[in-house]
Amino acid sequence: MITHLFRFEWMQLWKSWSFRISAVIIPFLIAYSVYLGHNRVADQHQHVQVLQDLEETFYAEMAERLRLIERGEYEVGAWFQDPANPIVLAQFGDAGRHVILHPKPLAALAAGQSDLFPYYGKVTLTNRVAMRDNAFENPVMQVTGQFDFAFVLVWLIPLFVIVLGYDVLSREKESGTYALLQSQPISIANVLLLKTLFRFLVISGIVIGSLLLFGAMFGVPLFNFGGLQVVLVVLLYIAFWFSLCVLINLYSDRSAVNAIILAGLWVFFVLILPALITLYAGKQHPVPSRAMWVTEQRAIEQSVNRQRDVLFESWKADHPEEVVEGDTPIFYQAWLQRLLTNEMIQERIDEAADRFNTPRNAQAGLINRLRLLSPPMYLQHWFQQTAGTDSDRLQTLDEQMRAFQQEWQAHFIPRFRQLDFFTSEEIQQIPRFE
Amino acid sequence: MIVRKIVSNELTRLFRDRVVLALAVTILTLLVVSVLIGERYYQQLSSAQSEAEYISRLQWEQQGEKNPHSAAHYGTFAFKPVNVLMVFEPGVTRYTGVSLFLEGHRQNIASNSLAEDLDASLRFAELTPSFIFTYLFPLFIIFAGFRMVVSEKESGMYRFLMAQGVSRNQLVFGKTLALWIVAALLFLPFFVMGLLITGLTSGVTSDMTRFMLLTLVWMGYFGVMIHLTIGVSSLVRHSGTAMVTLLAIWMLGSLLLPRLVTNAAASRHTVPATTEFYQAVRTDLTEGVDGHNPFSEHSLAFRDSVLSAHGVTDINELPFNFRGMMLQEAEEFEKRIYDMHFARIHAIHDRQLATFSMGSVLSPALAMRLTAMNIAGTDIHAFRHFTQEAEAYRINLMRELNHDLRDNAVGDRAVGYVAGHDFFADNPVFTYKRPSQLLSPLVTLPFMVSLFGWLMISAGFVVMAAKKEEIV
Repeated sequence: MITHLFRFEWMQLWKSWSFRISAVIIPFLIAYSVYLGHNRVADQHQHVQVLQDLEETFYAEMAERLRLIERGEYEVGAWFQDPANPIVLAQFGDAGRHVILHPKPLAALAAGQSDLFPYYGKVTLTNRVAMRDNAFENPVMQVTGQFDFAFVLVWLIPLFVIVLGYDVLSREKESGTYALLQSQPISIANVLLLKTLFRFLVISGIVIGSLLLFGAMFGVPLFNFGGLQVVLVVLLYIAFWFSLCVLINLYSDRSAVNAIILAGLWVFFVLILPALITLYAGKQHPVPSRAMWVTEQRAIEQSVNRQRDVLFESWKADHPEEVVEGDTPIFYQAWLQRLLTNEMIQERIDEAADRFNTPRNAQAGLINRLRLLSPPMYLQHWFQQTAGTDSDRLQTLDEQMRAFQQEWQAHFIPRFRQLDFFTSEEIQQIPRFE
Repeated sequence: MIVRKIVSNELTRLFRDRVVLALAVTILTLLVVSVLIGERYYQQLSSAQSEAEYISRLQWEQQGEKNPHSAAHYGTFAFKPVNVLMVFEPGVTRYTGVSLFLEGHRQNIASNSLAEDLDASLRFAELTPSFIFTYLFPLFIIFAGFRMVVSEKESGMYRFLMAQGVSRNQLVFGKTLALWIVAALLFLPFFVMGLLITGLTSGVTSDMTRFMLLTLVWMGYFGVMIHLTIGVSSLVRHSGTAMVTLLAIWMLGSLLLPRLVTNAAASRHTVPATTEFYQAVRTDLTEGVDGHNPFSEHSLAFRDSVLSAHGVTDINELPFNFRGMMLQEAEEFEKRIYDMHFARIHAIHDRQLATFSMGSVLSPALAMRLTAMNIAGTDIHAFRHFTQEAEAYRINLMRELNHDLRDNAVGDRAVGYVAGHDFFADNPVFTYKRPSQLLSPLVTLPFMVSLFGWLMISAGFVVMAAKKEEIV
């Protein structure tokens, strides 16, 4: 009976235009989305490589120059060219390290927020600059959004499911075959279930088959635990939409009405609910103006700078053991003061930045809970997390830069204060970001 | 006469249809909420922007006694202005930075975009009129109209009507008119609200004209959807088929193609990565005067040319401060380099826009959105205009600072020269003015042509569907 039913379903599907078109379009969409994702991630890997090479070359050159100096074969023109000087090593020119959030293995599947938040930044003694790779990207791109697998699955696949499942039972009633079915030795419930199961298997087969095929083609590692999770999630999501189709078909007999209701549900889950949730969370926890923030940072800078001489003198009085007294090189006092002032400014700015982080985190927390109401919204987030392109992960960049900067400062500043210069051997051992 | 009856008949049926009524109420509620929320958001942004502008100017004037070139490094900010039409069509405003740091030697990119502080779910859907008009309103038109003609066939009324002497032409035309009326009625409350808000915020200005133009663009887009709906409804035999066909058209036109086209455009005309851009700028900058390195080849050459022009051998014998002059020379050179590189980026964006316009031939939604953004002044060109104005201001300010150094740091004042509050307070103030022109024809023409083309072709489609002889 099952084979019989499946055979008839297949003949029916095969004859319908909507199925034929879907069978062509879905693989194409998935192929293109995976291809774009592959390119995006390949670019990121390439940039990371360039940055790391740049860093390596810089410090290799510094070490080499210092070796020459140590052997007396080279002389520097000015203090700021001396590679033994901690300030030169940690702050000038190309000095400093890149802090990088490497793309995760499945990054190609969801672009997420990666077009808004940087995935790497540079740290020196005084600076912490997160760098957006795509700062010159056409913003229209951000308005329309990235074309990634997550989009194809979360937004488009349900529409295909609806097109293939809205009339799974109602068509039988409309075309008069319902009565025939009733006379068969199988219950209508079973027929409905099997028909839907068949359609579910076909669509899932197309989606998962295309994903695995094009994933393999474009080097997205899916034959592992992560891939298995993705496959399961895809199955669940498609099953969710088919079960809605079944439910509607049980209660309504008219195909056109079913189509309206299902399309309405799609609009509700995909468009309206997320919009309302975002709106509500934004209203509950508003984030203050960034324009004002810019001027506030400047005010902090100004107020510290105004008292910098006093602050500097009192700091020196409190920490006599940390500095070198007496005859020191020309740059010593100025940089000592600059580093200290910078530290104070940074501390106060970081403190003030909590004003933004607190409501933003509260917003994210609220949305995290409400997200469960809309499976598409939940799935979108799940994909971003799996791909490592969610804002939570990308926003840890600043924390990681902060942590690494502390390590960097701890390595160089005490030695600078003591005017304890580096040897060419020691240049090899300066901290790296892991 | 017959047409009028058909129209009024159809309207009565629609008003009695609970599904359509519920949808209309939903859309209307969402529209009202989106306008109210958007208006408040606009007010907040607007007041934060002017407050930030004011404070930042104050900070500039009260930066204390400083060498003018230290002030150049200290820099100041330009803040992106907002306009009331962003309530209706926010365009790219959320994704472009709100503040632009203006300093000596370099042109920065605007930073701190609003999107950075908004949750990722915003990318799903944002409750703005533009969003509702792009996605939900066409769906409403489809839901309200997909059965209009086909249901007459399904119920057997069609034969009856034909027998009564109603022509197919009259039937289709009447239904089209009815759907137009319903769409216009649903749009009307929004239109009144929009007029009120633009009027109350900026008075009877160009903003109102812009809003009217926006209305035309939106209505044009709705017209396309109305025509397609009626056309499809006239040609198919089952209302289910009509629904699915129209849904497919909607998905393709509003959802799929705009994304596909923009992504394809961006991957075909790629912009350089930020680090690459600055690396290229840095390489080019070594080819000219470096204001901070008096011993570079170009700086020495420049010094020698100045010395020989004045017939002296030492810069201290010059009647002005040489450093101020050299800094200005360097600044102008640096500007040329930056301008050149930014122009390259803009050229890439323009090529992308050209690809968008090709895509808009396939997607009326894309054509509508890009036209609306331009009219609302929330598109990439409006943003570019702002950054260019800010840049013009920056170079002006830098010139004033460098010239002050050149002219005043002479003789016994040369060492340790500082400018004070009076000087900084006298520096020009940045006030941004939007271009007075309502839309940039060169930019929007392709999109407007596509949209108009869609309107005409879809109308032709309805006429064709009405002409088709059919035996039911």
